[in-house]
Amino acid sequence: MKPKKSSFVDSLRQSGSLILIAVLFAIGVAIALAAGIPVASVMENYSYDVLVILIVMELFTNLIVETGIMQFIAIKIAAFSQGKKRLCLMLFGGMMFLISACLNNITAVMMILPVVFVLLKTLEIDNRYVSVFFAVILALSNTGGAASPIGDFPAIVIMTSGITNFLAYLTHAFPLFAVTSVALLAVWGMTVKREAGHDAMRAYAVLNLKSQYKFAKVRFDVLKWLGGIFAGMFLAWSFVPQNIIPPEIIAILGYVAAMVVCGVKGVKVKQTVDMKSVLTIGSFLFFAEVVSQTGILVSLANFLQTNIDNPKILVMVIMVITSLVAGLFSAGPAAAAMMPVIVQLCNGPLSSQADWIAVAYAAAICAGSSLFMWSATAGFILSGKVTDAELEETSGARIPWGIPQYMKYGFVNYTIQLGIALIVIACVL
Amino acid sequence: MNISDDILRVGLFQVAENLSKAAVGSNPMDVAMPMPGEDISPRIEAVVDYMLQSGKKKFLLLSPEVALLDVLKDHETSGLRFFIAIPADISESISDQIRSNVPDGLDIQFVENLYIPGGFLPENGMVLTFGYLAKGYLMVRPEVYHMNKIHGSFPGQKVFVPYTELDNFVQPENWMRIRSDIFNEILEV
Repeated sequence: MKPKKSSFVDSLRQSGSLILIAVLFAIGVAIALAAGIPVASVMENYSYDVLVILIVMELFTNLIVETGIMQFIAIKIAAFSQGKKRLCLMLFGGMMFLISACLNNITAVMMILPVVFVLLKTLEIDNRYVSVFFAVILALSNTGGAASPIGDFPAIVIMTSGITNFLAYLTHAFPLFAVTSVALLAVWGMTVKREAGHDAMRAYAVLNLKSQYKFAKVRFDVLKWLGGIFAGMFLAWSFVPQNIIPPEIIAILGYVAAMVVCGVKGVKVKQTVDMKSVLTIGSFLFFAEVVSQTGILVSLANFLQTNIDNPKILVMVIMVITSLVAGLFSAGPAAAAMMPVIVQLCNGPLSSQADWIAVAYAAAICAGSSLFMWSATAGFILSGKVTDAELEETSGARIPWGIPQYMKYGFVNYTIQLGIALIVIACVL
Repeated sequence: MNISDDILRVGLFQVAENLSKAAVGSNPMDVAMPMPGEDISPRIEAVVDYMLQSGKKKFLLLSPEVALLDVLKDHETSGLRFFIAIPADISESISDQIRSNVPDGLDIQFVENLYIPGGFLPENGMVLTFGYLAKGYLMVRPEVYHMNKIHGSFPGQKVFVPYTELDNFVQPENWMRIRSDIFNEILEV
């Protein structure tokens, strides 16, 4: 009987996210029916646009990946760092931030990991370095995702909500998250011992990495077209009003153009999307829309506004609450659930500061996403990959990286990110 | 540091070349593989010359010798086909990486573990096994040892190619002695 039990538990664990999707849809429907809200009216306001942008950006990322540019950059970074661990941390972290700002951050993480693992396996690493390294990668994939309106799910929700526009979000958010990322890199970088001069093992690590990707090819002929199309999408998102051409249509048009280019140039068009994550986010959006239509969140927003007179303090309190919700329940539900509260605020006394409130909200979700392993979009996937890579200390001891290992690093990431966001918001509002 | 993994991915000659270029001292490597001579590049060139002058058209390499392929791509190789044997028990990521890390311009095919490529005949084919010589003994990695159980019965030319030759007998962990009589030739370069 025992093995049966364990296999049942294993199956449950493996299907955890699928069960969550089903439960969220079921509870959402139950609440809607209990509150007398027709499900059809919930679906009328459903954020299909968010799902469309998410799917299209993942597909677009697949096309970029097929050109081989990600691995190329990662190898260049590794070579430039000369295998110095502190420099590796800084450069890969910086790369993660920039890529996550433009592309799907899970796909971005997946692309640089093989190169990172080859390097780490050859360098003399320990438990602590691995924990710091991946804590930085995780946090900077979050800050990068929040730095642009198309970087990650919460940012897309904000952009499509109408409280701000593409350009306003970008110009307010990017500097804040860039500064936050630099602060994170500086803090964590200082914890890694500086290495100077030539070291044979480091030199071997870089040579070995180069050998493993010696004949890797980059399709620059395709990349320049994709870059041009992406720049065009960026400009269209920035300057074409959303009510004339909605952002999801711009995303679709851009992807279609990119797909044609890849087809003509003979690049494999990989039209695969992680439907589990799409459905998960779809269920969050549905649940949040149901809760929103019950009026509970509007009441919560009104309650907070009634009891906190100072708008600045009000925003900061909401930031802390949002960050904790994001930390405990992950970014997706937090973004979807708290959005009506933010919209209510932006329609009220703080309407003139809507752009900053949007960024404050994004910063709070971003900070919360870095708190625990499960909070971040890429958290468990990254942990699984690190475990599968079987990294070892020089003694041969296996290096684990999971929820307990990330815990204290997550707390520091959260504190730094939320601290900077609160200071900035306190100054600008 | 996992040298075994590196050997699986890029072959012995490339790892040996990297070790000598990085001027890695012998100490940390002794447990993984014997250190190569100071400059291994002439040896790689010599192996390539030997292959091209052998008159054979098909070459089965029992490890993905990236360093050799890198030199071969700069030579005239039209009409020649190179097979790279991939052990069946390696991870998918290593297998994928071996398959993607080959130069343009060479006719390269991959063969799974014990499969003998079609059209690979004694009159046109040559099997190359890579390892090192220790006091005259032939030493190979375990995956290569196992592949030789099948490819060793190939009735055509079978060549043992050492990346280094040691005067004393050294057998690091995970290296195996292989019988010399299964080879027609031990390449001396």
